[in-house]
Amino acid sequence: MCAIAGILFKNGRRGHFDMSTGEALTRILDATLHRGPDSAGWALYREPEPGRLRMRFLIPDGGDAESETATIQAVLEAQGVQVIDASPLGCTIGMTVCFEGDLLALTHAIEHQVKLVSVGESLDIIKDVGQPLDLAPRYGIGDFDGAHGIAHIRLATESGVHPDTSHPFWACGFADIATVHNGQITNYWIMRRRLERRGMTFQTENDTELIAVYLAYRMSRGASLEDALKTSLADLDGTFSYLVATRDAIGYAKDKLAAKPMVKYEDDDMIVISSEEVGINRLFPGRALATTEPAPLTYGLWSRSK
Amino acid sequence: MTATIDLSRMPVRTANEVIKGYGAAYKDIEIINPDARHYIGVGLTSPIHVRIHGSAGYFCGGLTDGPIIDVEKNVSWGVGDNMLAGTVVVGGNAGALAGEALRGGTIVIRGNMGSRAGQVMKQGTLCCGGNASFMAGYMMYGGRIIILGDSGERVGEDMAGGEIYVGGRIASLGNDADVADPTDEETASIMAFLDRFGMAFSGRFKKVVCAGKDLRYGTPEPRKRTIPFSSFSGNGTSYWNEKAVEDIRVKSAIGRYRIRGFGTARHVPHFGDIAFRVDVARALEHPETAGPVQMRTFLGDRSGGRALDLSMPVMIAPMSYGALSPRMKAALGIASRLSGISENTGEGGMYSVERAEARQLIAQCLSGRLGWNIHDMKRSDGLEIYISQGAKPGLGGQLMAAKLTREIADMRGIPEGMDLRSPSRHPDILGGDDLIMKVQEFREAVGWRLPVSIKLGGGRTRDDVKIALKDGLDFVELDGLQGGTGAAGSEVAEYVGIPTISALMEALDGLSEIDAAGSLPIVVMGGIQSGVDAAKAIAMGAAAVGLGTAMLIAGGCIGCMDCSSGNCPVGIATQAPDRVAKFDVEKQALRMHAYLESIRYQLAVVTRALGYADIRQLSRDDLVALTPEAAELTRLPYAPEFRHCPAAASPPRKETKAETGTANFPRRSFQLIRAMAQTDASDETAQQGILGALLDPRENPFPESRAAHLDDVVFLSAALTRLVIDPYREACGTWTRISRCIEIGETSGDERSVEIAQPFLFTGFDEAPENIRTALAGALSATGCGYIGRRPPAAGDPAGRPYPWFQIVAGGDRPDPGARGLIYVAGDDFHPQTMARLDAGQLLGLAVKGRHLAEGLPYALEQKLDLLLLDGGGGIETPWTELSTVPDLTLLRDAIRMLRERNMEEEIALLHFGGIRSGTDVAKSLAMNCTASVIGAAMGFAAGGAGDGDSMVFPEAAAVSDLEASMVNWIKATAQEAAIIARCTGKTNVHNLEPEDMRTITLAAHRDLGIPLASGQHRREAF
Repeated sequence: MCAIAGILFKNGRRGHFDMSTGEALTRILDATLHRGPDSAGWALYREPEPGRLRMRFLIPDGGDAESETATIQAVLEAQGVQVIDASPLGCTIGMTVCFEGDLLALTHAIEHQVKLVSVGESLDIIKDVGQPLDLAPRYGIGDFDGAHGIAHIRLATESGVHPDTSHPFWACGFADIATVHNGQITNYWIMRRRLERRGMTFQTENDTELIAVYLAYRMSRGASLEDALKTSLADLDGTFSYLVATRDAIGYAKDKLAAKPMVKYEDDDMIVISSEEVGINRLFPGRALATTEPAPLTYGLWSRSK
Repeated sequence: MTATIDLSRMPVRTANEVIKGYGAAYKDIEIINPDARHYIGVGLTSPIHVRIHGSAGYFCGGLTDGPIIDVEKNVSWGVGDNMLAGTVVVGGNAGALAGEALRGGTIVIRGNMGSRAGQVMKQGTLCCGGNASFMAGYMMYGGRIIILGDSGERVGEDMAGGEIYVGGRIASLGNDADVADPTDEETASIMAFLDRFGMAFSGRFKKVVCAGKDLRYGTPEPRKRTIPFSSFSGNGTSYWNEKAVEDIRVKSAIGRYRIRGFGTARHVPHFGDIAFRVDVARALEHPETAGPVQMRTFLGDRSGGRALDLSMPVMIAPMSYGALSPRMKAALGIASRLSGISENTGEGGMYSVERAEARQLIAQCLSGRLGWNIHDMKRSDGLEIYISQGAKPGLGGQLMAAKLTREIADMRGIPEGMDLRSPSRHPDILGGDDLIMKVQEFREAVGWRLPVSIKLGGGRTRDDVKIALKDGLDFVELDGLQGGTGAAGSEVAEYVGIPTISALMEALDGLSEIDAAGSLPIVVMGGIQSGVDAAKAIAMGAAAVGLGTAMLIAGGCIGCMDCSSGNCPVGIATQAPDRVAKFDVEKQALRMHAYLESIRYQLAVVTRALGYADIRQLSRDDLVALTPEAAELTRLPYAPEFRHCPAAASPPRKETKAETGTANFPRRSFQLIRAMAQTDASDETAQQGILGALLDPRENPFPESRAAHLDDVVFLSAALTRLVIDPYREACGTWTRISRCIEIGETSGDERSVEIAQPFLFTGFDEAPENIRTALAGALSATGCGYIGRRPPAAGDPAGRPYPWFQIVAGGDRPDPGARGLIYVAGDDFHPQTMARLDAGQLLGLAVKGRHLAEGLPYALEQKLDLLLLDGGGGIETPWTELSTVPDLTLLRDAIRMLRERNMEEEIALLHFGGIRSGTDVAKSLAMNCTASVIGAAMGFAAGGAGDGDSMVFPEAAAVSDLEASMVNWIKATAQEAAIIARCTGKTNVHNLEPEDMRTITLAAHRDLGIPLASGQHRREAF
């Protein structure tokens, strides 16, 4: 029960759009704030640095940045991860690391000791309890000007209000994949147990995490992202519109009831997605936009380079 | 001269007041810088011209009557929502739900329009110059939609009336929609319409109309006499009792789920299982307890609206004009006025006589928006959004054709004579996020003057109330499982939702989990019968209580429970003029008033007896629980020593009359409510006598000697946290695959499996007469179900159709290569036996009883068997053992536990046998992670059999075709029931039911099934 947002610039062009990507995502969220006042989050795709991984962690309740940084560093180094840089940001700690090994194995090894939010060459997930306009300056969201990103505001339904139950969710163990979702997965426990029996792990009881883990599991078994999106339509019950972002694309899936809104605007240079047209209109004041709404039981992938 | 409003400088809330002000002066308005802001022009009832220079957001021109609104560019959801008359022209595109619930006037979209345009519209014209998105005309009841471009997918889905004219391509037709050719007059009328708006069209229209296949239930339900609850609920009743058998027989006759009115019939823990810490009757004897008690209650001013002003914390529960007769509605209005409390319209619009009689009337808005309009909103004293109700969470309102008269149909704006099954959810409230927008729209429509409340049926209440709080609702009307209704699916009425005391606890606990205790008033209802119940609810933390069924009893209801048929013998729940005429408005209004005054007396006496002068001083500290169930559900101290029994001195009068049909309103309740209704408020002695009797607790219906029962398990329905799936319109899969493993993603297809259309396998007919066996074979083939037995019921289906047969291999039987599966039976002493598939495709399984599970389950896993049959029915190898066995529920619990301990859940298919009577029972075993249910005795009864000890006797000489029809009917009805339950919990497939969807209402079931109780758990740790 929320609002989702996404922006993707095609072929590196920005046309006449002069707002930073972070600023634009924040404005979409703010325009739809009535849909989700509990928490907000962004999945930002930054420029990759060769040979480096970005990792972001949550500081647990009552923890402080300094001791948590030390803990995380120790945990990472024990796994052969070389920490290049660590800097706290709000309730999170961002790290740049060198790691050559298997990310899935690393994730499984550390996920019970530290609160991992995202890992990727590009991906950086920032999320916290609060509202987008308050959080954005604190987390420097407006400075982000990459070619795509997704974002979310949340109205909690069946799990609590904490930074870690905020969206986006990283597809645990799979670099650069993040999900935001509006809706409710109603076979959550069956699917969760099914995935857990196959070795996947969960940090929260939030159903969006289930989508991320589901996609991760399917891809770990060799499915393409598109294929994973497709089978999610049958495997996940309930009603949902979700976005998934990768290093260079944004995908979506929408269930057969199509009850959760998702409006798309597309021109030669960009694609904008919001739960309501008012979100898109915030980027283009005074303009009448030709928007479309994906049909029930559909999925798709929009690429940065086509 | 026109006025200009700049929305970049003025909030919409102010702007709407200004617009209405100009409207009153008939002055036209220009709106600049709208930038897709929501609610522009909502609630406008003046015929002025409003020009919006730009795009508008949600609900532009919603809840209006008469304005002319031009939007230069686009609009978002719900343009012209619920408009009565007027014109809205949109220059660009419209989002979803254009013209939803339109009741008149004209909406023109020059561009494209979004999904579900015209949902539940009733009159007027919605015209789209471009293409429509999916499901245009969804559930429309009347009016006209014109689409010049393409129709979009599933156009006319579940429409009940009206016409959709499509100029372009029809992408696909919706359910129960059909295509016809428009008449010349119709085409001419459309062309004239287009001309008026300067829209060009050349081509031919296709007309989409209702095919009319789904408007009525087929076979009517036979009228049955009331079965006394003492024969089917409480301690010592037989499992296959009269009611269970009748239920099976009715379904085998009508082939669909049953409908009935009133409310839950079996025992449910309730306020009667709670007592005050003081002996109220004795405390009365002390004169210092006399004195006035402050009871006046204000409700609904959290957001600045004008609060309801109740003379005591009591309101009348929402009950519709339609379900109730006009005379009863008028009488309720009078009684509410005389006692200074509020009345509620329920579904279907505001009845003018009731409006005139009631001083305070809440207008309730339901999914179908039947009778909803701006004028009635304005003349109400509170607005209420109905999400669900205790009697039927997940189902929309139901009004059978017999009660849908011309007058009521007109008021609701729908075709007369259909079996009205309102949508399960609102067009535009698809979650907490959309709810807040609807609340805002309502507030705008009435200038933020009125309280906006929400009606919720108990279920996932802990989370639902949090959303209600965040969405700014002023109070919650919360209804427990025992809530009444005019008509509901009988299984939903019985098994979906949580008891009223649990609903209240969950609501209060939910608020305190987010540190919001006390910030959202909870009005609790569902089986509240007296001031004693009400005082307990208020002491637990309710702000007020609602009275529904009890008011009807005070007004003359005799409890025949036949509310849905339209044949109410006392003129309360009927529209038939001769029956309505039997109802004496004045007499019954005064009785209901007397009943309310007796409640006031009881509230005051209890409050004083506890030493308080203000009813709000009552607290949990004043209460104790008399039963272990009530103690666990409410966390009140268990103190059976407070079970005062003043009546015990004299032996109970010998009753000759049979009990009522519902344990929640036993004969004693009827007697006491009638006594309250017929006793003068000033007759202190009589009132004291009644109060004394009310304080006398009922016997514990769940004593320790009573075994856990499937009936003790209830489902949590979807409400605000998740979306309910409409049981009348949206599909829910029942296809069942019995296989060792369940894949994620696409199934590889090379696993051994047997597929059946429904999760049902039948058993017990090995020795049945030939005609029965032949009929069963036919029914299994016709419905795609399977059979389990030592031999197939018939050599073959007469029509030669196949059905899967699983062979029970016991006592030296020879495995049959023709069987799709072999199920070996663990003998009295479990010992591993030689089991082998006769071909690679044959499934292999083991049947275990409770005592064999500990050995049998690991063995089955080790042998990589395909299935494990959990035999809680006394022995599947012998027919009809179920008849003499109390079903063993621990088997389900232990099997799942053992599998989970081994991390091997879903690595063997579980089949469950023992005591399955209905689709709800099937849903319970599926939710306990079984793949299919094995059904024995129930099908025996469906085939006309009668239980005789532990055998089933079938009538001789029944025709095979009749028997087959009965069996098919029962299977269809039972599959519907299972799927309805799944939909209530928000699933589109019965196999997605989870243990987490269930709660128990007794300690025995909690223990035997390992499922949490309906309430009582402390603050959630993980939350």
